[in-house]
This record gives sequence, structure tokens and C-alpha cells, in this order.
Amino acid sequence: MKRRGRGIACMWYPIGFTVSANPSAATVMVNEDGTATVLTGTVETGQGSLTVLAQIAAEALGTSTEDIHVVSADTDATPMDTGAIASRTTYVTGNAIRMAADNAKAILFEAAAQVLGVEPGQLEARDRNIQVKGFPHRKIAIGEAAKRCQLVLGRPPIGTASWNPPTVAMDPDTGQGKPFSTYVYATQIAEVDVDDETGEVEVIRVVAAHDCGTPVNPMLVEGQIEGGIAMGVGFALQEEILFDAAGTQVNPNLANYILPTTLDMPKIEVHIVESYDPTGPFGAKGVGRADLGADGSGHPQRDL
Amino acid sequence: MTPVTVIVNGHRRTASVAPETTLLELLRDSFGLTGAKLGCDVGDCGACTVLVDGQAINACLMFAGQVEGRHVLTIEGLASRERLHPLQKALEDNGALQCGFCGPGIILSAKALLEQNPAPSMQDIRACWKPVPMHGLRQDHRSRWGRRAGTACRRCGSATVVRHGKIETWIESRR
Amino acid sequence: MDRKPEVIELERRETPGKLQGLEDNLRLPAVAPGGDFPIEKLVSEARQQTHAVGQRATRSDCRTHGLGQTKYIADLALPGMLHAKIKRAGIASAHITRIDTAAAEAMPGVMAVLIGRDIPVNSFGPSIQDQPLLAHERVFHAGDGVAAVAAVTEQLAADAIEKIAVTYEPMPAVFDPMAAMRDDAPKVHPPNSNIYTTKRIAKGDVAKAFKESYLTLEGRFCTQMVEHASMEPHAAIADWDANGRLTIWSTLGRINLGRADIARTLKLPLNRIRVIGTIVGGNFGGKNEITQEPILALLAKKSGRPVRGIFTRDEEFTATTTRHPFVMEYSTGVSREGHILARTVRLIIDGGAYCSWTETTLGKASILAAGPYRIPNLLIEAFAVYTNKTMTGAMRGFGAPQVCFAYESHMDDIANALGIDPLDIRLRNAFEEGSESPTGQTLHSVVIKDSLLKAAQQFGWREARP
Repeated sequence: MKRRGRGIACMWYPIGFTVSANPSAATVMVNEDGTATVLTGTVETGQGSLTVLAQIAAEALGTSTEDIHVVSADTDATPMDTGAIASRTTYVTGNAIRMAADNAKAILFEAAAQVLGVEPGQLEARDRNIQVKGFPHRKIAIGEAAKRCQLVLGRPPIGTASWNPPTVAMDPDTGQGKPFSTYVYATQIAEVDVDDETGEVEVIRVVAAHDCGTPVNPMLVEGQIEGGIAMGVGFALQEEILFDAAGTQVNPNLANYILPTTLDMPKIEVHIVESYDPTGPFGAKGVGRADLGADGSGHPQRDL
Repeated sequence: MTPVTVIVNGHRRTASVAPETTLLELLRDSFGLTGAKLGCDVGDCGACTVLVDGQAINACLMFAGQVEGRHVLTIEGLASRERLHPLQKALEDNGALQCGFCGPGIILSAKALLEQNPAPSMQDIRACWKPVPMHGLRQDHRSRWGRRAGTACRRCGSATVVRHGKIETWIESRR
Repeated sequence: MDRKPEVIELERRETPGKLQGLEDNLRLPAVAPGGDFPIEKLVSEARQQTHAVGQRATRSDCRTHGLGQTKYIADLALPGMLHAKIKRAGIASAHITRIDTAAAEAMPGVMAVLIGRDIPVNSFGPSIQDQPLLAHERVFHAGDGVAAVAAVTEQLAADAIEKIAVTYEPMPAVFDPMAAMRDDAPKVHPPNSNIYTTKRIAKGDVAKAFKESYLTLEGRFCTQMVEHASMEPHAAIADWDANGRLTIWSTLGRINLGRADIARTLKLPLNRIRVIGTIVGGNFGGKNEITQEPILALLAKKSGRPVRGIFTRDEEFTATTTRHPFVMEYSTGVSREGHILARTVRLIIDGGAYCSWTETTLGKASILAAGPYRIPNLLIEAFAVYTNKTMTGAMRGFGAPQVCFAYESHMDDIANALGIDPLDIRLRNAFEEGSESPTGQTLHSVVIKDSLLKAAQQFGWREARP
């Protein structure tokens, strides 16, 4: 007989490396037409980081996402980045890119200030223009400013920066310290059917409420969470590497190592919890791993 | 070496290959169509899904010789010069493909389903992506009727693909 | 398959050109003339007073993925490129007494063979360099590589590694981490202890707090070994230029670390190495350290040609890192109202044959193990233990999912014992803005209660109360 149950699980997850420095460096180069190229040593592994980083650069430069081209993952051409690991890309690489964009923007403002007859500190970048704060009618296109940087000012609008989350080393005996600069929080509630004869569990529905600071791209955040729930279903209910008595794996293939399929997926509702982290780029933190909390919900057994 | 002629994406193409060459190797190595991927080489994952005469099969499990004279559709054959196939557009609009490795297989599995059943239920759609682990069992064109390749996806379990791809909306628009 | 027989017949008879002109209800595959793209320009999403952050911006790689145009390593080829395969030990613990590569080297089409002894520095690892690229004298788990071959086709390379004869002298092995902790257990990496890294977090006075608790509950939780199972296997290409400069294309997620490891193992200056990270078909933590890159580089050097290696699905399971199995023992003292007064946690994690990312995993798991709760008296002790099994490394969460399973299941037990709703007990104990973490850190931007309330509201938790 099938019995319906539900479970709730909440979790917290840190962003970045435990105490140790994990910097990201980035370069932003604004072209003469106002588009820009970003150089970053990070690697796109499918999570959509290059899109998120383009959005951060666009926000900082006052342009649009499609004006930004991101070049990544070449040790000859892109600056050092600790890598796509520990959910750090949006937070750490994002901050580096925001700072690099600000440095490039400072050069643009110098050129624009000359044209607009104001101090650089009175300017802001919005809608592909550099305009005077409080008097947006006085403006110059970013492309115009960029051209002027090259041809008049003699300094191309290129900015470079690096960032590392501030931490405090942990005491070796008591573990007291500040190992991470920020954390994300999440809750998932699962509704399941359990067959009380066979023990088979079917996950019907999962409601997920996740914090990621400011969501840079809500669509990609949802994709990450749903992907994490898929892995959580697998971890909780299906997957296991089995060894024989001699220490050899018994099921090293996709026929006998059971991965979740579309038919195993529950109905998923994703909600992003409003939050703003002042230490992150435009308030963002990251989402990467927190989604595997699904395996904590509603599971009646002690061994997964 | 044996000559093989196949109609790939509407074009008649010929290659000279060793008899044990799989359809996947023929497509990738001889024809340069690298959209179909090698995920496991034994038909468990569906990353190599292509359509042979409209039927979704695991290209790693068919020999090149078995498709002599048949129509093979790969991901490269789906879009026209002017526009993306609606399945590709739907997935793009909704950010449904993440690492993309399963993408060609997912799209072709869906296309095969829609060829057979223009008004599938949600259950039918989900089922079309469930891989049927073949674990090395060779497919031939006679027994393939009724066997269907699905495609596994690790990142999004394909539920994202279904939800974000708004497949149902596209099906409605075709009515 | 219910295709109309006349349609099938028509397709067999007619040319593509003729078929294109026929009715759409024949439902023929699209005929693509293999022309150029782009098809439609991506439409600008710029809005008034641009706010790029917060946009549901389309990913540009979605288009290339959907078209099958994305080039992963397996889709790249260089002129004259060879294919590499690695021979796996198949035995969990052994001395290698002899490796005979003569038969493989004699095969036509085999261009280079490599064994551990040929590697300048045959060890790597993010914290402890205990992992060899190719096993030299000892095998520590069944997936250890013992020799590698580069040949003109993948099939030839696979055949060649079969011809390499390796003689093993089996050694004692240990597979269970609890057994491996005992003094009399066989040492995986002698003379070192099997317990290779430990962590401790202590706060307040747990003994006193337990005495003052209304109720003490215990729980023991275990999680299993799982695999990333990315759809794309580990892959890399190595190529040298005439100046002795090495280029590596790889599925690595950390190219600077990869470059450093390649420099160290091959004894090359850093600026003689270029590492290019290609678009990867899934990582999930499994592609964050080198696996075969220096091996491919040496095969390429020996043969004078570029070499590509792609792991088989079997190797993805047996020869790459997996998620640490955890044994977690919890003990919690609570007040009558359900406030947590004290908690002790003991974590024993199966550290596999090599350290890999275990240090990081243990560290993270220890910090997270108490859960997102205000607990004034805390003791966490964690141990990582070598076993002769597949190495355990980074996998989405670094220990977080395992401890989450434990602390949340334990919380449900506590709720049950006290007769308190599972949502309420969490709200009663969860972090707030400015709370102190297990390591004494003041937390900011804390929204755990918001997430609990939001999820409960959307789910209808209160309404659906049994």
C-alpha cells in the first residue's frame, strides 16, 4: 500500500574555499563602440557562469548583456582564476569582474568628463551612455568616450582587478575562526509516496526556497536548483557504487549504476528568497551546491 | 574496407570503412558530424541518439553497414538555413541546455516522439527521454521497431528541459 | 512505429529534392543544406535604465548546444593526432613486480608506450601528493593506471594495453573505513597511519550542557559512495611545438592549478605550458585535478605527435574521484521546549586510496555538520581514513549533502521525541542575522528562517498537517 509522507530539510552552504586564499583576477576591455570583452581564467562547466559574469560586467559598465563577450579558460590569455569550484564563481570572479569594470569605467569617466564639462565623480554609466548624475540629458555614448580614451586621452579603457574573500584562520584545536566570507541558505520540502510492502519511494513534489543573494540570472538559478534536486533524488534513492570482496567495483556502467531519469523527477517549484549580500557583486552570493538538501527531506531510513 | 552509402540529413553520402565501424563512428569520423556524442559506447546513455528512418536509435549500437541506403537525421540536419527548429528555439529561449552534451540526443528523441505522436501526453514526453539501457546489445534495423533510445541528462534530469523547454506550448501551436 | 507504408516507400524511391516539395503531413526530416549560421540574430534584451543583473538573459551557448555545434574535446582533432589508452590494475592492493611492454611496443600503429618510471615527478594531489600518475611499484586501488599507450586509432590503443603484461604480488587490503581505523588494520600507505587528516571544532562546555538537558538523543547515519557521472568523460589533448612548449586542451575546471601540477610533474617552467579549458560536458567537482594530462604530454613527446585521451565510461567510475561515504554519529541535548543546548558530532569519512580533495571535504563538512542552528555548546571531531578503494574527492557539496542528511534526519527525530512540529523546531533553533556560527563567526545576510517560512507557505505545510 502506498503511504504519503512529507519531509522538510534546511541547510547552509559556504561560498569559496575554507580559509585559504582563492583569488580570481579579471580584465575588462571596452571597445571603441562601447561593447566590451572580459578576460577570466574561469571555466564554463555548464552552469552558465559566462552568462552570469557578462551580466555583472554589463551592470557595472552600464551596457547590456549582449554587448559583453567573455573570453575564458586559457592560461596564455586569461588572468589567473582559482577555478569553477566551491560555488565561488558568481561571488569571487564576479567581484573581480565588477572591480575590473569599475577600473575601466574610471578611464572612460576621465575622457567623458572633459567633454561634458564636469568632474569624473559626477558621472554614472547607464543605458550605454555616460551621463551626469541628476541631469541625464547631459550625456555621451560609451562608445564615444571609449574612442576619446584611445585617440585623445591616450589611455585605452582597460581595467584589471583581483579579489579574494576575506577569512580568518581557524584555531587548530577549537576550530574557531572565520573560514568563509559568506554562506547561502535553503529549505526544501518533499512530498513522497512510500510503498509499505516494497519500500519503494516515489518523490511526488519538491518545493525549494533558496537564498543566493541577489539572483544575477533567475532562470539559471532555477536551472541549477532543479539540477541539484535531480542529483539529490539520485543520491537519496538510487545511486550507489558497489564493491565486491576484492575491492573491485561491481557496477561501473550506466545500466547498473542507477541514475535518475525524467520519470523519476518530481514536480518542482523553485522560489528564490529575497536577500542582499553587501560583500558580493551587486549583492549576489551564488547557488551551486545548496540544492542537494533534497536528500535530507522526508527520508525515513537511517542509511541512504 | 567496405563502401557505405547513407542519406544523411537529406544528402547522399558515401564512405569507405572497416566492417566493424559503428554508425556513430561513421557520422563523427567519416562525415565530420560531431553532434552525436560518445557517452558510454554501449547504448546505456543515449548521447549518440540519431534518427534512422525517423526512429530514434543509439548510433553506437548499429554498424555502418546496417544503414546502407537509409535516411539518417542528425542534429546538424534539424535547423534550416533560415530558422532553428522549434525544439531548438524552445530550449534556447528557456536556458534549458546547460552543459549541452545531452542536447542533440534530447532534441532528436523528442523529434522522434513527435513524428510518431503529434499530441503526446506529459507522460509520453517524459518517457521519451528515459534511456533504455542496452548495455552492448547490438541493434539492427529489423528489431529496432519498438526499441527506443532515450537520452540521459545528469544536470537537469530532463525535467528542466520539459518545464523550461515549454514543449507543451510548442505542441499546442502545431495543432 | 506507425508510419504510413506509402510514405516509407516514397522515401526509398525519391530524391531529397523531390521529397522536399511534398506535403508537410509526410513529416520528413528537415533538409539542411549545410550552410552558414547564424540563423536568427539573438534579440537584444536591453531594457530602459539597463539592469543586466536580474535579467533572465539567454545563454549564448544554448544556441550552439542546440545546434550540436559545441566542440568538446572529443570533437577536436589535430593533424596526425594519436589516441591514448591507460591500462588499469584491476587489483586493489599489490606490489608490481614486473611490467612487460614489449608486445605492445611491437604492434604496428603503436607509437609510444609509457610507464610510471618514465615520469619525472610521478606524484600529485591538491593537499598531499600521494597519488601517482601511473602506479610505479605499488597499486593502491583497482582503478590505478599502470601503463599507457598512444596509437593511431582508439581501437589499436585498447588492443595494445591488453598486450601489456603486468605481474602483481597481492598485498593485504582494507575496504571498510571503520576497520581501517583500527591499529591492527593493514596500512594503505605505510608507514603512515590510515587516519590521514582530522578536524576538531569545540565551543562552550558540552559535558555540562548535556547534564542540564531535558532530553538527549543519539543518531547514526551513513551515506554511500556515488559518482559524478557527467555525460562527458574526462578528456584531454597534448601537443608540443618545436620550441618545447606544451599545449594542453582539457576538461579541467581549474586550469591554473592544472598548469602548476603539469609543471611540477614534468619539471617544466610554468610559461612553457598552456592549458586551455574547453567547454565541458559536466564537472560536478570531478574534473578539478589532473588525471591523464602529464601522461598524454609524455606520450606526445615520445611519439612526436599530438595525443588525445578520452576516458571510457568504466574509467569514469573506477579511475576518477567519487563522493566520500560518511559515517556520522550525532548526540544532541535539548531543552523541554526543543532548544538545542549541546551537540556532539563524530564524522568518519572513507578517504579512498588517495587524499585528493579529502582535506577540503573534511574541513567543510565539519564546519557545516552542526547544521544552521544556534548551538552554544558544541564538539565536532572528524576523521578521514585511507581505504583501498576508488579515491574520494570533490563532488558537488564537499560533504555538505552528507551532513545535511544527518542533521536534518536527526532534527526530525528530535521533533518526534518532543512532539514538536518539524517546521517549528527548526524555526526555534535556526540562525538569525548576527548569530554565531560553530566557528565563532558572526553571520550576515542570514535568511534561513525566511527560506523555511517561504517553502512552508508555498508547500502548504500548515494546511496539510496530518
